[in-house]
Amino acid sequence: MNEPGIDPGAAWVATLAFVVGVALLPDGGWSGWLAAYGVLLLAALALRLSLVRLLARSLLALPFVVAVAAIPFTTPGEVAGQLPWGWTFSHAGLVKAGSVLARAWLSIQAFVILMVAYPLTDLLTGLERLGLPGLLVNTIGFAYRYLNLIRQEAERMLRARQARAAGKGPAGGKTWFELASTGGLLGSLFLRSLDRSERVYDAMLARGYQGNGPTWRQLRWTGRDLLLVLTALGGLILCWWQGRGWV
Amino acid sequence: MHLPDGFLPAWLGALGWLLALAGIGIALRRSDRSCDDRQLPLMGVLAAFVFAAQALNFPIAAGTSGHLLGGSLLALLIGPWAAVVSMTAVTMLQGLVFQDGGLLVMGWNILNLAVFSCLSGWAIAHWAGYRSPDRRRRLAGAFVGAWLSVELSAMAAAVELAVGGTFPLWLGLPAMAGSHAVIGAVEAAITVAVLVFLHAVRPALVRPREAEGRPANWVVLGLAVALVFASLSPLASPLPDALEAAALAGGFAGRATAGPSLGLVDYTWPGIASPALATLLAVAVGTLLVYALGTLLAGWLGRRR
Repeated sequence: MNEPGIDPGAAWVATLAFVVGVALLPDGGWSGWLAAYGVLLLAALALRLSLVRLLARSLLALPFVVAVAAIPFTTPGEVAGQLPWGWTFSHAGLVKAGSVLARAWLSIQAFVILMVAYPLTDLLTGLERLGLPGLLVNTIGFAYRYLNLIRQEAERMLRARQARAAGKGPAGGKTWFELASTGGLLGSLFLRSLDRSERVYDAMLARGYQGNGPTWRQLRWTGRDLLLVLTALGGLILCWWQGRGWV
Repeated sequence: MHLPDGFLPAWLGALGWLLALAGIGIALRRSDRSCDDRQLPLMGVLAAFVFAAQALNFPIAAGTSGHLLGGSLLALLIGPWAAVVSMTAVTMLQGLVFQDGGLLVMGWNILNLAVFSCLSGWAIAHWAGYRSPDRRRRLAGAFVGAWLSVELSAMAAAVELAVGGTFPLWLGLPAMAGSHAVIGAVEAAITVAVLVFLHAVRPALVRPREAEGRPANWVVLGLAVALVFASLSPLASPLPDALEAAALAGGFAGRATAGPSLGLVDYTWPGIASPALATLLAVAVGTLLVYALGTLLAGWLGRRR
């Protein structure tokens, strides 16, 4: 995979413009979405992203889409067909369901490309520079940093519980033991997290924390970033016109 | 319950982001005021805790499992506003790392899963007895708060989808409220179990917090009023195709919700034709049942130690 060579802030703006543009295209705007998919493919090619991996990750995140199956049956309109047990679905509903699917799928792929192209710390710096409150961005950064540590802590506790449940007899007794120890398990995990946050704070103070985390990377917008953002905004306006029926 | 992109129109997504930023702004200012610098790693590390806790699945019955969502638990333990910041970090990370929830709709996901759930869990628990010196009544309050906070977030999501024109309210509201009646009960049970443990181990953590959260009451009251109005609206406006709608509500909406929930899942009440009215009734009865259940459970847990 290539280094993006684009400021993460500019990449955020471009991705957001892409998602908003895809959402602005009217129901049944297939040609517009096809063009949007072309843009996605270009971005993936420029980054030398594996298309298979992109597809796999986008499909993994789509279980909610099962709910789309309800739309053809709930949208009023000319009846397009009937299921054996009497439910009817409409043409307008089919178009709407397809449109929701297209928007969801394109947006998620844009999101995946952004996430794969940058380390999360760069993306957070980009968000902060775009005006998201620094305290929130720092909180997300902390959460991300300690995520694996606390997850491993939880796994160790689960393993210990499993070991202690070994003699608890058949399925019933064991399940009950696991249920009954839920409060203790999560409560201990909470206390350990709390203690860890105190230690982290002491360590921050010991290293001279004065209200700002150190940043290693110097990020600066170049002409290229500006060009990308302007192009993305142009595409957004095009989508908006298409939605109003001007193009 | 993370909404993906594509399910809400662009203007609604923008509105969600505006509201979410306003909510986060208030939460940041309040949590900053109520605590010192310590709050910064605290909110971050506890967000990681919630993230890890959500990944732990507990067996419930018949092969199904549930997990903690954590909003109201965190609100009761570290205060409603710090909890909002923490849960916002959780929601955004879920979007960023796992694409759980979309980008344009992230504002609404933050509102549902962080702002509404933390504030309503906190406020309802305090209304329902968390202020009481009696330990059992406080646990009952926490149970009700946790259950209703999940239910309110789910209903809010249903209303958002209806306003966006994706799913009509008569379908979305029963489906979301019904399935989350079960999820909320699990959430409430886990929340109370954790509180019982912490009460025994570090009682200072489990105490009512008065001064920090008074504005939360107004937010929750406003949310509740908005949801009641939204739930009533299908009664007033004629359905697009009343006959088809009724047929579907009987058949599809009933099947769309999964899991046993005290027999209220399909909301078919004898003698009540309107599905929306039946939903409201079911939610009201369910609330009372859960309150009774919470009181019983808390009483039983309270006696044990």
